[in-house]
Amino acid sequence: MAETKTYREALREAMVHEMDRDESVILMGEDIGVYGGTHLITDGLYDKYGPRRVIDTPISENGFTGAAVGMAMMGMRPVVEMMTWNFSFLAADQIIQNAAKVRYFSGGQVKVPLVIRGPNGGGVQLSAQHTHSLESFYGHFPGLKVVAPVTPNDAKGMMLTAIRDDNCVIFLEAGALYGTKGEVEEGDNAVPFGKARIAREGSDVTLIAYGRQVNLCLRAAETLEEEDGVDAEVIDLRSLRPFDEDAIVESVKKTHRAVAVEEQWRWFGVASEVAAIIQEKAFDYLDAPVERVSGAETPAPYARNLELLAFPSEKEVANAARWALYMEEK
Amino acid sequence: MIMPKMGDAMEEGTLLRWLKSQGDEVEAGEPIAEIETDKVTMELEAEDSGTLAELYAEEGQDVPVGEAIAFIAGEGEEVPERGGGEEREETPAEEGGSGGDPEAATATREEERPAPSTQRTDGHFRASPIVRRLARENNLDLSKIKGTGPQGRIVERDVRAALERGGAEAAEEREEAAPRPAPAPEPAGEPGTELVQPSRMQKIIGERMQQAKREIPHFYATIEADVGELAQLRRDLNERLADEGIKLSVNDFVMKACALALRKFPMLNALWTGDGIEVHERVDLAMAVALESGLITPVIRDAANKTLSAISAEAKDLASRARDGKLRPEEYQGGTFTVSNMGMFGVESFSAIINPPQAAIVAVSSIVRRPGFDEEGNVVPVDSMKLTLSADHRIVNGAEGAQYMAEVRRLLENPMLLVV
Repeated sequence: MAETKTYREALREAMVHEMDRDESVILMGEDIGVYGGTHLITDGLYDKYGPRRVIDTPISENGFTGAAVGMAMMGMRPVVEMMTWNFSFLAADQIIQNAAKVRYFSGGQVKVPLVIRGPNGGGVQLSAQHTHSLESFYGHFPGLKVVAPVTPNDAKGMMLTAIRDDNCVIFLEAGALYGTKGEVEEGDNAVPFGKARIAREGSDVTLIAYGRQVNLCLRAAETLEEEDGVDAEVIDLRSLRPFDEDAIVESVKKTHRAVAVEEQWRWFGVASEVAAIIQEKAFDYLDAPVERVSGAETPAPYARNLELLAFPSEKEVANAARWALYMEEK
Repeated sequence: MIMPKMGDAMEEGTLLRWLKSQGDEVEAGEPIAEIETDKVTMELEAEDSGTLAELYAEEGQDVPVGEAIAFIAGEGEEVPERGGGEEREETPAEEGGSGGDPEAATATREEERPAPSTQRTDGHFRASPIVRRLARENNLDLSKIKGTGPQGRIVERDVRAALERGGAEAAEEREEAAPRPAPAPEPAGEPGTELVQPSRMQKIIGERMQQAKREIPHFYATIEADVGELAQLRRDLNERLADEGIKLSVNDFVMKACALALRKFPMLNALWTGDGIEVHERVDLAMAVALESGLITPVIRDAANKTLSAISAEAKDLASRARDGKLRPEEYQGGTFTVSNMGMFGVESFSAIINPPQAAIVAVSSIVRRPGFDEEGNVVPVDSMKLTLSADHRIVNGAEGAQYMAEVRRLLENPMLLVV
């Protein structure tokens, strides 16, 4: 059974599912209680579970994240909301120095079952200080799991998996897509980490993305099919750490061409990692260099027109695919 | 000294043999090496007098026209630095072998010499990784494939296309590996000569026959049949059938015999196709008809099941319409076996080229009266006819061909068998 729900509702449903199931699951964050959350993800949960399980915090990211790390060490399963992922820089010390390392420090004796969630990336005119894509930043640290679901079904299924995980999970929500709808499976639809999703089957070129860029790639794939008769495969990575290398390699073995798409800045990014893995593991199958489509190397602009220019467009993705297919010259 | 261009079509020459050694004094005009081109082998003479200071090419090496093969130093002249000129950089063989241990230098040269190839390369060309893998797996020489990617990069579609051409390509490669046929000579243009362009038909026949001779491994089997009885039977029949307007030719008997014999040897009534040998049950017998503009082979369908008179009537009709150019394509296409008769021209023996994709053709010569022996050993006149089978050895083996021809002879020597 499946029902159409928004991305926002799907996330909430997952938290409710786990809070009902496991009393150690609690929520923390700024305005998530009485107000229902800046993005209304936790709307109604304060009334349902009360102030001991849905905790409004002061504006003190390092403080409440540190408290959450401590709670997790002591057996609770906190889910912490960052109002935007940009604000997690204030809590970076707790996340990187403690959440990611305590299990290692303790020789595995102390686990940190902590989820830190919040909207990632841009697209909703929130300007440079609220529009940051942190996947490369957090993906860099061993000890952290980093996921970025794009469909409502995955948002729910991966949140279930995140809350049940004994490690700190950086849960990057597609902030611009909170209102988008999709079929969501009823009940326990836990989606395992480390498994990419083939969002569209194709044979000519592989478009690899995560987060809201997956939808961009799907639209580009349609354009490519209509205008050029190109059959593009779209891979939704879903989980960046662990990372589904096999899905990428298998797809490239089939198509021989790849375009890695990311919203974030290009340097030292996920697309670079994708390109590196392809050349390491599928070198003999490549017919063209791996193309990368990334965001502009600039702080995110506030103006709508400039913001659109700063992030990858459907056209850029389609063009990159055409380059990879040698249909057009760069 | 450079590799001279000894003909318009010459692209490279083979240095067969050095006649002088490094360090020898040479006189201008003195032969220093033997060069082989597509057409000739000739001696290469020194351009200047001096010391043969440096040999750049190995014996047996193919050297492109214009490339240096040796350096003759005049009085006090130094051997120039290696790899200086642009030309030199392109010559892979030159990279090794500047001074030092001569053996080591030779080894280097051997290693660096690229695989024989029509397209000169320095062994470095653009090819995508999958292309290199496909080339490895399919034993393809990438230097022969033209790239359509950026800056001529060989990409997957190029190599897939090459693999699809497969057979043809491989055949071409074999051809390239083999000594190339000499280009057709220039017309002499002397008084009393006339230049006539081949007709389109001639060109096509030429191409098909060239292809047949080149690609089909022909073997030949000749028999001699005593056709005295056949000649007698023919005279009798023609006499009695004259009122009906029927006049059987010798060739009608031969065609009937060839067609009937194919019933016992179906492998000769077969076609060589891309998917395998297609063996035909029905004999669609093609007969060669000479036209002014060339040759055509109209087909008598199901010849083995037709009477002599039917074959005769059909053959006459087809031949006359062929000469008038009034055959429909379906009347000269789809034969499974061919008979070519030159008996009427007094030819005593000949062998024909197989008409592809057929497996065989029989060449029929004239009836010649010559001395033979009867059963008592007396010399008697014999009406003898030679028939030569040309068969595709990929389809038919020698014994089968010989047995087939023996059956044809049996039928011709017992002509009543052709009437029943």
